[in-house]
Parts: sequence; structure tokens; C-alpha cells
Amino acid sequence: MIALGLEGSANKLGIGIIQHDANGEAIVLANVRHTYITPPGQGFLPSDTARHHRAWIIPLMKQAFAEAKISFFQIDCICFTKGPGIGAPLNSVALVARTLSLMFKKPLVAVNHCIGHIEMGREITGAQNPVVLYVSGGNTQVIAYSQRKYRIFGETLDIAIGNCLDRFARVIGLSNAPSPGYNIMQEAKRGNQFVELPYTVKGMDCSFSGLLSGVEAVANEAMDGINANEITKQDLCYSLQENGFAMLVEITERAMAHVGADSVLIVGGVGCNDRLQQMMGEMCLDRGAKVYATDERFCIDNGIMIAQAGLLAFKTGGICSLEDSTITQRFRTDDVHVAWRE
Amino acid sequence: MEPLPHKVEIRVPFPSEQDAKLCMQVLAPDRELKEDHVARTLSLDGNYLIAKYFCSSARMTRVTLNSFFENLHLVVDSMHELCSL
Repeated sequence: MIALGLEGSANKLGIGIIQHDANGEAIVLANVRHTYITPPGQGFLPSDTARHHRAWIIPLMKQAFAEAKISFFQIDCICFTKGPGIGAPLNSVALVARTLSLMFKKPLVAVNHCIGHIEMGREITGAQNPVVLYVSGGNTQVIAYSQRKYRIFGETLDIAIGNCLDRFARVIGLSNAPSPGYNIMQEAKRGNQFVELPYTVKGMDCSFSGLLSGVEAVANEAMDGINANEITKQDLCYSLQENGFAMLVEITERAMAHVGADSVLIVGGVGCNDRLQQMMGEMCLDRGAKVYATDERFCIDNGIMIAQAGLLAFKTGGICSLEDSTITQRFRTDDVHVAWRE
Repeated sequence: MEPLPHKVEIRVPFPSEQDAKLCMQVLAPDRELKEDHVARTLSLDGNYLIAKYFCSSARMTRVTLNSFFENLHLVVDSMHELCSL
């Protein structure tokens, strides 16, 4: 069976085409993406992001089908991100999904973005029932599967770790290309001093708004020349990562201890970060556990993960009617009935 | 004073009735964000899609109609460009 996946919940527009062979093995036929990148110091606003997606979805769709070398008639279902995410961009993509569904008379499958990340991570890495750390610009959750639900064991109480990183990148004027998080990771490798910053873990959960305020305050002092120790941008990027990622490792470990897990799967855009993978690896080594992560094709938002999760749902009857093909900015990971697993 | 005094009717011609109906079915599921400021009906008249908007202010009318045309444009372009995939 072949599924088309459309993703546009934030500034990445992704289209993927995936094939499941008779054994259920997944083959990626196409995975194309275009990112809306704003100038340094600026974030992306909803209406501008939607405008980007509207401008790029048709050329990207043609590119996907050219790469896959199939015709639309071979598609079994059209999967799209129902949520969570930003309203206007999500809606632009849903309109095209509906149009294709009616034009080619193919069923629609509504997909939860977080579950897209999880299912693609499982498929690519082969991880068997890991604790999942889902970290991106919009989400920070620790998830474990139990009885047909991806249950949230811990999460951020305010902003996502990626949002903290992205907003700090704006303060210090880093480029948003290819992504602000990538540039923070590169700057951090050149850091020498560790700066004390707020560390906020609350039981199974964590919080990043205090960390963001803290690191911004030190950055502003340094830029005003107030700081005697000559703290550099690189030192702050390094300290921000060490501090924020340690918080994530702590809440992940707590969940692992609760469920007796022997592996961690890191998904979401921040999952590309070498340092996070390294720190998680050190914790897992201590516990005799394994870390699984994917590369930037799959951890950064993409269409193939929507196709993958969508096709799994489709095979277990998860079709969405036109009336139900609306989008939603808030969509909890544990609201989805995971019919395709035991 | 009426709550939604600004009324606009848009008649969009399509090559056929089926095309107009398809477009209507694509746009219909989404509800207006500010339902106490904007009311909308969608209907068909032969090969025309009829969109009627009732808005609370000139500003709401402008914002709503801009959004309608952006979405309509996207759907029409998709129908035109992607039918040969």
C-alpha cells in the first residue's frame, strides 16, 4: 500500500510518499521539504508561514511525485497533519489534502503530529517499546506506550526546549538557516565557560521559561559590557544546552525508572542535536540502556512521518470524513487511540 | 443596530458544476474563527460557487475576505495544477 503524507504545522512544509510491502516493511518513495526561514532576529508568524506553505505546496507536490515515479492513482490514502501546531499553516495544507481527496476519490487520514514523529522513529530505528523523548520547537514530552495509547509521562509546563533555543538564537543574532537550533549547537562547541543558569525540573515535568529569561539576562549584560568575566555567545550557547539538556535527561531517566524501560528514542527537531544525543547516551550507559535517534531527514518535521503514521492508522480503519478534516492547534498525544499496536 | 451589518456576496465561476461543488466541499468544513463577528454561507448556482459573508465591521470584512481569496486561490490552483499527477 502507498500513502501520501502532508505536513505543515510549523515553518517546515513536508511531503512524503511511503510504501508498505507485504511484510509491512516501509520504503520511502519520496521525502521532500521546504522550510520558511526568516531573517536573523525574527521568528515566523502564522500568516507569513501560511503564505509560504501556499506558495510551495504545489511545486513540492510535483517534486514528490516525480521522485516517487508513481501516479496519484497508485496512492491508497492521503494523510495530513490535523494538529497540534499553528492554525493558518495547518489549514492551508488541509485544504490541499481535501482537494486531492475529492479530485482523485481517495480517503483522508488525519494524523497527530507527535505520533507521526514517534511512528517514524520506531520504523527507522527498530526500537522496541522505548521511552520516547519528543523534543522540538513546539513540543517537549516524555512518552511511553501502554494499552493503545502513547501516554505522556512528563512534559514542559510552559515552552518547549526548541522554543527556548530558537528565541535565544534571536537575542544573540544567530542566523535561522538552516535552523536556529543548528547554529546554537555549532556555537556551543566553541564554548569554554559554564555559566550558572536556572535549572527547573518539577517531578516528572520541567520548565524552560525561567531558563530562557536567565540566559537572556546574562546575554544582555554581556552585550552591555557589564560582565567582568568576558562571557561570550559561545559560552552562553554551551551553558544553555548543558543546562536544558540535563533537565531533559533527568525527566527521561525518571520515566525509564517508572516503566522499567531499557531504551530511549529521541524524536523531534531538537533530537538532531549531537550534544543531547551524547548526554542521553551517557545516562543510558549508566543504566545499561540504549539510545535511538534518527537523522535530520526524519527528526526535523517532514511529510514521510505523517504518511507512515497515517498508513498504520488507515490499515486499522482510521479514515477521516471531510467534515472531520478540520485542523486543531491543540491535540494531545494521548488523545489518539493507537489501534495499530497491541 | 444589526450585529453583522456588512454584507458581501461573491460569485465565483468554475468551468463546470462539478468543479464548483468540489471547491465548496473543500472550503465548507472550516468554521469561521470569530463566529460572533463573521457569518458565512456557501452555496452553488449552476457552475458558480456563491459565498455570502456577514461581518461586524469593515476591518473584519477586509480580513475575512482576504483570507477567503487566499484559500480560494490555493484550492483553484491545486485543482488546475495537480489534476495531472
